[in-house]
Amino acid sequence: MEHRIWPSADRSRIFKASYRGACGFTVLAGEVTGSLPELVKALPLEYLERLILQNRVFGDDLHLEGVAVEAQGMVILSSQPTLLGEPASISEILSFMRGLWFQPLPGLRLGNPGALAFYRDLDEVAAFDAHPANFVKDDSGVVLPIDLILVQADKALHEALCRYVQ
Amino acid sequence: MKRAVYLTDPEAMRKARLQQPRSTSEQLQAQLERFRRASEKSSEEDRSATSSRGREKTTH
Repeated sequence: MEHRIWPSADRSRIFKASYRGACGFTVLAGEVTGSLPELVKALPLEYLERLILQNRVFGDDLHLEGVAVEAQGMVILSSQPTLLGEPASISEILSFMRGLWFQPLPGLRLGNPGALAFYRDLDEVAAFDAHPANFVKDDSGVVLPIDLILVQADKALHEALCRYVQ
Repeated sequence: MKRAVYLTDPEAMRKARLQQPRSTSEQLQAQLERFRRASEKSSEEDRSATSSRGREKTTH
């Protein structure tokens, strides 16, 4: 898990604090990775870009609440609407992502074991760590992602991911 | 099992997110546990179906 989480006082939102000195993960490719996509610790700006992508691509309502300095490092505090429901199945995850023109990347395993990866070359957005715990199927059956690792691909990552598209 | 609904418009997704019922801390904790178990089950199924020569690189 990438965050410490707790509900807001009115329980409408979830607060998320990154672990001290860490900003979650991102994926990059380049000379240092042998041109293969690789999961690495994210820099603060990469983490913030990920939050912006989550709002833009998946209609989330993530708010940057602030930045705190704790004894062992910086913490980024954000919040998002509370979603109650059930974990989505792998087939529901595939259907949801395909509906948004994300193509699955078979053979690319980054993040939790079994997690799927996707790429949408229309706007060069990649989504990683797609597994049941990162998708909520709410009481109406609406499937919504909550905590994917989203990356705006640069040229090197685009080329690396295109090798996995079938 | 509930029939899945797939929204494709980010604004519709935003509305769905903002119309959710309030949760209690207990509901949230119970959900986290359910999701953790679902993720573990999915990982186990994947491991049993994946060759040892797979390309998995990093876990967290």
